[in-house]
Parts: sequence; structure tokens; C-alpha cells
Amino acid sequence: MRASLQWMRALLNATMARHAIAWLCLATLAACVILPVPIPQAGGPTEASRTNVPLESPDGIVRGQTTRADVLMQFGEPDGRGSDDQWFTYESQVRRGGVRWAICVAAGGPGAAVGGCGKVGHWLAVRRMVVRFDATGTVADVSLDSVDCSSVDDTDCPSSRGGDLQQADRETLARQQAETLGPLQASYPSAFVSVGAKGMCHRSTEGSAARGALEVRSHGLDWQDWQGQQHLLAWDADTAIEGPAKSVFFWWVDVRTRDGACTSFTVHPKDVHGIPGKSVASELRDLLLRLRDAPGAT
Amino acid sequence: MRRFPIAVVVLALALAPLPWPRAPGVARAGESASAPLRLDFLDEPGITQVDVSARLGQAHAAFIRDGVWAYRLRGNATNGWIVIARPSGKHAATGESWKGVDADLMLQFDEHGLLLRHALLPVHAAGATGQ
Repeated sequence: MRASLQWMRALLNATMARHAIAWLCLATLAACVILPVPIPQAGGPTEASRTNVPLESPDGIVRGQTTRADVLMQFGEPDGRGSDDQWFTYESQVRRGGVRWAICVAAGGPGAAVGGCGKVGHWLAVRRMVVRFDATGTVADVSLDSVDCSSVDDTDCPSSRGGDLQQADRETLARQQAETLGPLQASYPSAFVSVGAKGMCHRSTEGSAARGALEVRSHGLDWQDWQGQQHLLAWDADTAIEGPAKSVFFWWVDVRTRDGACTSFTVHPKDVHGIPGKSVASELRDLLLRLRDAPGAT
Repeated sequence: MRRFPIAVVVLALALAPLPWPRAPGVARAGESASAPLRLDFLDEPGITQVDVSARLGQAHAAFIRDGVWAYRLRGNATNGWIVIARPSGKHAATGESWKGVDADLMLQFDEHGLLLRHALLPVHAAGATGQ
């Protein structure tokens, strides 16, 4: 139901689509209805929100001079804080006045019914201040964003806790760790990674698998698993690179490190539809061999 | 005289409500305390983290590296303040809401735990006021 509401909301952002939905609702009056929701013209802050967030970059914060303690004493406890207090977020949410619209959907039959309402358009004006600090705890940067959005639970409003900033921090850290394996040589947008027991290669899409791209770097491979955990596999002259070997539908390249651990990879390039053939795996194996044997690679 | 059964006495003691010490003016999340607090004591010289803990309870947030504690308060300077305790367990996730909070009390201590400065910041006003 929630997914369908989000889908409808996205559609309603376009004027033509708004008309189309209106006609659709008229045609199936029992299924959905668009309701006007009056909000006092003045609007006002939401109950759960603070209001002491400035409109412009405050004079009291000077880059390179103001300390983290100064910021805390001036603006109070932040809504969000980064790892090691590298940044703080302060957010204010104000309900926009006037008539706002909601779409309500109901479906079901005798004995069972489901329904719900979703906000259409921008109900909120959100202002967020992000203060970043350097390693000495002094202000490095201040930014203020004002966004009209519909719901703090959705992705269109900035996260008061700085969830987007935390995600960006994780990505930066992952990139820095990956760069320790040298420059990027190739990237596969979709891959399965199967970690075998010692001395054995597992070669299965079940279990551990890459979530995003598999990156091939000068001195190793890096990928993220389904939990978002980053994995690095560095190779040296003793690393065995074997395959491709077929298991069920997929061709796998095995990388066996000096300690006997075997990690198997099957990759899917962007331009190949369906299950890639042996040639794709062979190309990966050749690339890994070339990088392992390159002068100064290890 | 008939002797009172020992088992009844033990049971009565076991079920008797025990007083649980709580600093006046400190409320559990969503609760109101009976005696609102005044913050005048913060202006006295030599106030330490221990003094503050004894009066206000556990801070809502602590910024250890900077020696800063944050308390969320409900009320006003005239009628006194109620400290809104930090939610625990499954309610901790709701800690970001400022609903029912009137002011943020920020306290900075030095490395010895001595109060350096404090600020009482209204969270639902257009500006912040330091003390």
C-alpha cells in the first residue's frame, strides 16, 4: 500500500499526471479519493521540531575560529552528529500554510479492507544547518539548506539526524580503503562473490554476494556484501587465479590466497543481457593474471 | 495472643512499595516531576559535574571530547524547570523529537569537571539566548 502511495505521489508531481489520476479516481470512485486538508495560512513549526535554526549562516560561527563547544553552547544539542562528532545537523520543520492535498486509497471486499492516506505535494518547509569540524574541533564549514518537501519519513525531506551524511561518510571511508589497493582498473556493475572454506571453492550465488560493483584494482579486488560491509582482497605473487569453472549456470573465477582461502567471482558486465558466458569470466581471469604479474604489482 | 504468621509478614514486605530515590525536578520521559527546579545553583562558584548530576540527573546527551553536557527542559524561569530524562531502550530512538521541550541547557566543564559556562537555549524561539 505504501509503495503504491509513493508511486501515486510521484505521479501527482506532474500536472498532466495529476489530471490523469483525477480522471482515474472519477472512473473508480470507490478506490481512491483526493481530500483537501486546510492548514492555517500561517502554518508554523511542527511539534517535534526545533525552531532555533538560523535563516542564514550565523555570524557567531567563523570558519577556522569557532570551536565545536562554541557551536554547542550557541545552538544546543544537535539533531544529528557524525562519527567522532565530525559534523552536527540542526533542523527545523515548518508546516506550510494554505490548503494541502492528500490522496486516500481504499481497497478490499466484505470482511477485509485496507486503506491509507498519503500527502500530495509539499506540506513542509525544512531548513537544515550542517556544521562540519576539522580534526582539531574547529569549524571547517557551515551550510544551510532550505527544502520544500512532503514528509520527514520519506526521502524527499533532508534527514534531521543526518542519515544522508552518515551514508556519504561510509562511502568516503569505503573509497579510501579501496584506494589502498591501487588505481581502479575495471569495474563490474553486478557480481556474485562466494567465499569458500579453506582449501575449497564454494562457487554459489547463495550466501555471500556482492551488493554493488566489483572493483578490480592494481593490487586486489574490493566489493560490498549485502549488509553493506566492505571487503578487500589483496593479491601477491603467490595468489593463484584459476578458472573459469562452471557451477550451475555461472562461470566462476577462483582466487586462492597463500593461506589457502578461496574466493570465487562471477561478474556481469553492463552490456551483457541474461547470464554471461564463459568469455566474460575468461576476460576477468586474464585481467587478474595480468595485474598480479605486472612489474611492481606486489 | 494469636501469633501473626511469619509467611504473611514476609509476603507483605515483599509486596511493599519501596521508595526509589530520584532527584526533584527530574522526570522520566513523558512524565512530570512534582517539584520544578531552579537553575540558580549553576551561577554559584565551583559547581562540578557531580553537583550537576546530583541535581539534574543524567544528561540527555554528552559530548565527551568537548566536555559539554546537554539537558532538555520543560517549563520556564518563573515557575521552574522539569528535566526531561533521556528515553531508554526501545524509546531511545524517539530522542530526536523536540516535542514538549522548551529549552536546551548546555553546560561546558573543564578537564577537572568544573563548570566553565552554561547556556539556556529556547528551542522553539527564533533565536538562542546565552547566559
